[in-house]
Amino acid sequence: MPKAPLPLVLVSLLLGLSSLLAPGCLRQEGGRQVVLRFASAEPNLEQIRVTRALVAEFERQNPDIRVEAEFGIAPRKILVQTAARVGPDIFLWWFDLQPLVNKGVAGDLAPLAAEAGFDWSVFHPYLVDYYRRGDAIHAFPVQLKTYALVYNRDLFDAAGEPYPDGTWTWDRYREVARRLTIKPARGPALQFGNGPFAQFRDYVVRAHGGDWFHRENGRYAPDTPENRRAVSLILALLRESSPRPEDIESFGGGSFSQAFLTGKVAMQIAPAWMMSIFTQSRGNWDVAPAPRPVEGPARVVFDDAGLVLNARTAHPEAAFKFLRFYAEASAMRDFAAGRNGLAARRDANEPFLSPTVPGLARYLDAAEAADTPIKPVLLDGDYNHLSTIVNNEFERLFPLGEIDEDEFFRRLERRLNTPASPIQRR
Amino acid sequence: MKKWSQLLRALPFLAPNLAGFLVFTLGAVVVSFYLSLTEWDLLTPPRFVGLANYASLLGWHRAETGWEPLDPEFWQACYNTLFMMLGIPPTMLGSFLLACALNQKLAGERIFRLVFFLPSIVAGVAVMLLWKWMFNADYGLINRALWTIFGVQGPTWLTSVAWAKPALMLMGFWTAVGGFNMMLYLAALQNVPKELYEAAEIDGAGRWSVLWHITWPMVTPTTFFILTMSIIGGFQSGFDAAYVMTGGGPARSTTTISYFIYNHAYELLNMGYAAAAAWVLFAVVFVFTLLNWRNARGRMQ
Repeated sequence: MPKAPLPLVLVSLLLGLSSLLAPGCLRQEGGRQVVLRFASAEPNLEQIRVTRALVAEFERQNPDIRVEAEFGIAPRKILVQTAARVGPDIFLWWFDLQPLVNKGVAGDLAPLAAEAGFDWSVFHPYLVDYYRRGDAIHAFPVQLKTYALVYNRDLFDAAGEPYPDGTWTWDRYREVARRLTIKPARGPALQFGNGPFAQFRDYVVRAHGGDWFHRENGRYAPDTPENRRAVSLILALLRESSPRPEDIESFGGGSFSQAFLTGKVAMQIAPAWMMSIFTQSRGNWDVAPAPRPVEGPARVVFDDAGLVLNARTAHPEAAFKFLRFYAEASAMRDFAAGRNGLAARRDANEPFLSPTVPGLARYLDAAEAADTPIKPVLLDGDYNHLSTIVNNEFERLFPLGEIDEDEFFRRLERRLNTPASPIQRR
Repeated sequence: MKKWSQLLRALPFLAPNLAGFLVFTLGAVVVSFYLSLTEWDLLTPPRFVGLANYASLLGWHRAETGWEPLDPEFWQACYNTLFMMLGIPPTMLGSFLLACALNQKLAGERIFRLVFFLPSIVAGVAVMLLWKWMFNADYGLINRALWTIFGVQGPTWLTSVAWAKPALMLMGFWTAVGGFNMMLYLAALQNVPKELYEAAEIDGAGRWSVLWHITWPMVTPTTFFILTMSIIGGFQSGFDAAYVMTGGGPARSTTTISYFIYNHAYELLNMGYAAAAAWVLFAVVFVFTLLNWRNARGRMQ
């Protein structure tokens, strides 16, 4: 084997060593600057643009802090990175917060806010309460998702139906949805009265005052009158007037919002974030208040997204500075202009309403009246695990049709109280 | 003494690979077994739970309506996996027949071989997305063809509980039939001594007799190898296609054991339970391979 010349070996060694040392040198060079990592699962391009602009403005105002923002990050990646101690300092979170609280990932913002004299009352109070556990507050409200009824005016006009208004009950909704559905004897359906969305089932249950995870005497007891009414309605809507998954795939490319925009769906309960998509379209649509339950009190449902301060961050003060910047009215107005939900700050939502689609104000009305989170807070249960059980059992009911409603509630109660794995039982 | 000195001299050359194997394979296997005895959510330290994960996976309990598994989703995943493995024999048979056809002296035989081999080297996700559109109930190529040619309204393939598994199997057949199995059979066929065929011809054997009494027995070792690898692969497969095309649905009808493991590990952060399921899968694969080995050893002799 020919011998390598000594200078070549030395140069290779030197290059190898310098490649190992270089990252350290660079870090030292930028040592005066705090680098914050911000992660978000947000895939919406407009919202990414808005957030990037906010980050740039924050960096301009705080030259000692640099924010490395990543978007479209899967939530499990954030958790895995955090477990490996390379997690982001701040992240946007619209999933169940409680596991992050239980596992010590979601830092307590209350002491930092108190030190900075931060006024929490700029937000809708129920959003702050949703993140409050005792004296601690575990997330910073950013995005508020309320729900309203979006309808296609052309399809209503063609059928001679009056537009929905604030007097509608779910029974009326079901009737009209049925009338606006056109299914030929064979081949794909031509038109659907009701367009579902990903959380449609949970929304209807919560809007009826129901809760899959209702507890009595320390046990899950989902068989309540509210849940029964909601399940019957959901089944009726899914069977009578909703597109099948293959229909959504065919004409909406798998997207519920796109399915509505094709003009084949007459009505859809739509979360506020869908307005970022709808307002870009030219469809002849408008917004009405969501229907009310026939019996029992009407609940106004909301969903959230908050910024979580990673409890393992090395820069809590700098991170809080960023959160505080996010809460300023100007930043929140920029957020509202993207219409990816309402801004959590009450006084920042005028840009959400323009350009004017008259009914958009229904989302703000719902924000004022909201009282029921779509994801209930489960202090001693894991929402994701338990929701999986609900999903699996509901599938037996629809579309499989293996069980009836009575059996669904019996099975659900049994499985919620005897989940399979140790981690689910905890 | 000589052996020791040889080993010492070989060790530096073996060390990088050995270190990689110990750390990234054997180490991971040992750790995963330990994790299967714990409850671990990644974010908090693992908590030792003994065999509780295995008991939950494999256990049954008496319900009002009779005996029920503690975790019906796991058993459904097992059923789905076994069902999808029914595609192995037709795929093997298809590969064998294709290899026989391509073993003939044909004009452009190399082009045919390339064409049949192509699906197995095209990027998997691209193929799956293509098939997803072909399976579309209303506008897909397959249902259009069924309607135009036979006047039959095709099923809703990927969104039907009854048809989702066969749909994935059909795609799997298309991908695998001309792939490595066919190449292995082709190599095996080219090693069959010509004298046997000549002797059969002199004896007046027909094509079917030659195929059944000469060709098939002579490629038995290859068949055994392909079968063993297919069974191992079959137990571990089903994740990528289901992830891209069906999300494990509808109603978990395409959730295989590997998808079940993924769901628990990365969707529910239920690492201990996922590790236990992985060890159960290993045990099943091991037993099947052992049985297959014993069975085939006798036949090959």
